[in-house]
Amino acid sequence: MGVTPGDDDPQVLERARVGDREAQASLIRGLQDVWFRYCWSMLRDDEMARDATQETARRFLAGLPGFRGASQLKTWSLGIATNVCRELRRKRRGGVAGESSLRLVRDAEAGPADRAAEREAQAALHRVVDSLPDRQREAVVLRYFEGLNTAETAEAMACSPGTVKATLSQALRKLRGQLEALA
Amino acid sequence: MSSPLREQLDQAGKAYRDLRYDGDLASELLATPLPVRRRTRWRAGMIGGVGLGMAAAIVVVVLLRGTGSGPGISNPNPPTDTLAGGDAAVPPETSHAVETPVTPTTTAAAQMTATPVVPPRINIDIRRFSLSRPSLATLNQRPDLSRSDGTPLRLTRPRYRPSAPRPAQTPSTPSDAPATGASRWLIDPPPVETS
Repeated sequence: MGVTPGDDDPQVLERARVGDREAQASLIRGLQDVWFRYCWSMLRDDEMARDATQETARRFLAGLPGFRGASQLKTWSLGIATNVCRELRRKRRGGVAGESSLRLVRDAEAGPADRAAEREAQAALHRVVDSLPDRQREAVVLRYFEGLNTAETAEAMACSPGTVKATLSQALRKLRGQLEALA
Repeated sequence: MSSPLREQLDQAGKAYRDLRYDGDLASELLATPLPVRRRTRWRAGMIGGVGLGMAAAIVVVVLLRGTGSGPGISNPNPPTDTLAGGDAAVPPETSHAVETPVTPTTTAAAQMTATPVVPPRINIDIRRFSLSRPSLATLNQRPDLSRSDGTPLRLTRPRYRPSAPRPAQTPSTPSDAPATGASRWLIDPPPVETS
């Protein structure tokens, strides 16, 4: 079992930085789901999300000796994942899978059967989130889905907190408008 | 933010967090050596190979020095009597690599005077020497040209002909000496017998 994401163990982190394989494996196991769901939300493709997750882990291990602990490990590693996803999106420009909302709704179907209306609303929301521009989608996923605060979102996106606030404001306005239009 | 949208985002966040990576990423990555370690191993192998090659070259040179007798391999400290001459100057035929060479003692050094004897002055007429002529003594001897019947051959110089190409260098040798270069000795035809 890996360490809890966001709850960095200084001893495990120090051992991982000096090359302890066991400590590195513990960190990766604690963060692999975080990386995968974020990459999957950005790329909307299972195979590409797996590739992006593995590439994120490689860069994470390579950059670990230089990590000074100025931020949380999860935030720092999500910054790596953001860069990886941006590079992959640039390569795959124009080919959008458009499967994200379907998979998330399929996963949500495990709930009670009497919540059909709620599932429908979620599917609509995911479709709207998928239609957002890349930067706005990054901000929404990191801030509301992953639970980072504004400063951490700004660090993961490599921009200022003011930019994050402005991006989120634009994204919410667009979400609200499209959801009202669907209703 | 409006409350319905916030609730929807929270619900979507829950579904989002249910996503899992299918597999163990740590074992997938850490089972194979990292590229950095592979590069380091390759570099260490290359350095080891170069070092091994240098060691082999040193061993070969040492073996050649121990057994070889090539032109460039000689005793760096020859016996001092080599310069004085005499039988004692001949080094013993023992192997220098095995035994310490024994320097023979002679009285030649004691017989030397304190001040070297200056040889008497020799007057040399430098004009008698031709610097361009080879210093082989046999070149100054005229060939013994005689016929089988005993009549001597007369050697003459070829006459100068204007149409013939001029020799590239004027010989600086005396006229009685055999010339080199373009000048050649010609053999006259045998004398006609008149009865």
